[in-house]
Amino acid sequence: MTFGLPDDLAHVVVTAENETTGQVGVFLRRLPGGPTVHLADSSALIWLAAVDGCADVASAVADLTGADPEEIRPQVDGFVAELLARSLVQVLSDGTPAPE
Amino acid sequence: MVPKVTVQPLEPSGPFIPTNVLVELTHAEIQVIAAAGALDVLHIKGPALDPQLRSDRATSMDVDILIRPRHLPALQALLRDHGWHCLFDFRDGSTFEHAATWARADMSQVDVHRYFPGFEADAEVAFERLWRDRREHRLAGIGCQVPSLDAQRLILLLHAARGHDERALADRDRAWVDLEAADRERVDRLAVQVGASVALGAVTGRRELLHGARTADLWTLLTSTGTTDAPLRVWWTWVRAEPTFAAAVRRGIHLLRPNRRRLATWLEHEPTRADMLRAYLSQGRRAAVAARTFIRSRASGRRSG
Repeated sequence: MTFGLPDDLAHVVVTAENETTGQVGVFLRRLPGGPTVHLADSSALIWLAAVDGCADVASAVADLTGADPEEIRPQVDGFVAELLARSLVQVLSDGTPAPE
Repeated sequence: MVPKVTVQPLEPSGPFIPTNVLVELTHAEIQVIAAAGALDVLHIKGPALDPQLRSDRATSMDVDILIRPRHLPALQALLRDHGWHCLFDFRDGSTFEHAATWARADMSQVDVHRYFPGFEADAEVAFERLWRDRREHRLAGIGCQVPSLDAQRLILLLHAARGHDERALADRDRAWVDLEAADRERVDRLAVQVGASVALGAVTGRRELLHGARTADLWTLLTSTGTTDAPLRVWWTWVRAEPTFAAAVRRGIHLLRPNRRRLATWLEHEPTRADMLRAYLSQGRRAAVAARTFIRSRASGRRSG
C-alpha cells in the first residue's frame, strides 16, 4: 500500500535550520477548520516517509533511524493507520495490481 | 546511538505554533475557504512574496490578502461560517480604509484588502489587471494565487511609501533601486494601468510623475514625514486629496472622530460614554481649527472661482 498527501491537507515542515524555538517537526492542518497537529521526532519521520510514497514505511523509517524494521513495524503501521483514519495521509494505491 | 522510534498521540497542537508556520497555515486556510466559494483572492506580502522580494530578517505576523471587490460580501459571509470574526472593520483601520482585520483563535489575523492604497483606478479594474497576470505559489502545500512579480514589486513599493523604517527602505531597494531599467519600465506601465503612478512617483523620488495630480501632496507627505507628524497638516492633506466635496467632508469628519473599536482595544474594555467624551474633547481643539480652515478655504475658493 502506498500513501500520499490529501488535497485538503496544509503542511509545514520545520527543520532546525529554519526554526529557533525548538518546535521542529511537521505541522498539519486539514482545511478548512483544522485542528492543527504537530508531529515531532519519529512521528514526523513516519508521516514524511508515508507521504513520500514509500511502499514500506517501516523499512524507510528504519533506514533513517538505524532501527530494526521488523521491531518497529507494528508501531509504525499502527501509526500510519491512525494517520489514515484522521485523513492526514491518503491511500494512493492499495498494492493490488491493476486489471489487464 | 540508535534513535528510539516512538510515536505520539495525534492530538491538536498546543497553543504555541511558530509565527511563520501559523502565517503559512492561515494563508492556506483562507485560500481553501475562498476557493470553496469560487471567490478570487490574491495573497500579498509576507511568505506570498517572490523569494527575491522577501526580507531575511522580518517575519510576517499576519496574513494579507486582496479580494476581488465584488466578492467581498461573500468572503465575509464564508469567513463567519468558518468561525472567523471581524476584529476591525474597514473604517476602524488606517485612514485609507482599505483593509479589515479578521481573527480566529487558532489562526493568524488576516487583513482583507478591498483595494491597495496608492491604486487610484477603479478597484474592480485594478484587481482584474492584477488577476490577469496572477501566478500560483504554494503556501503550506496549498496552491495560492499571488500577483505577478511586477505587481508584487509595485505593491511592496506602495506599502513602503507609507513606512519610514529600515524595513521600508530595504523593500524599496529590492523592489526598485536594484532593478534593471527594463524591469522598472514594466512596473511603471503597470502603475499607469492601476492608477498608481502618483504614489509610485513619490516613493521612487520622481517628482515629475506627481505634477498636477490631486493626490500629489498626500503621497509627498506620506513618503516624507509619515502620518505621525503635524496632525493638522496631515488632516488637511487627506481632505484635499478627496475627489469630491462630499468625500472630503466625510474624510474630514472620519479623521477627527475617535474610533470606538480602536479605543476599546487601547482601553481593554468597551469605552463608556465618559471615555468617548474624553476622546472627543482631546481632539476637539484640533477639530475646530481644522474645520474652520477647511470651511474658509472652501469659501475663498468659491469667491475666487
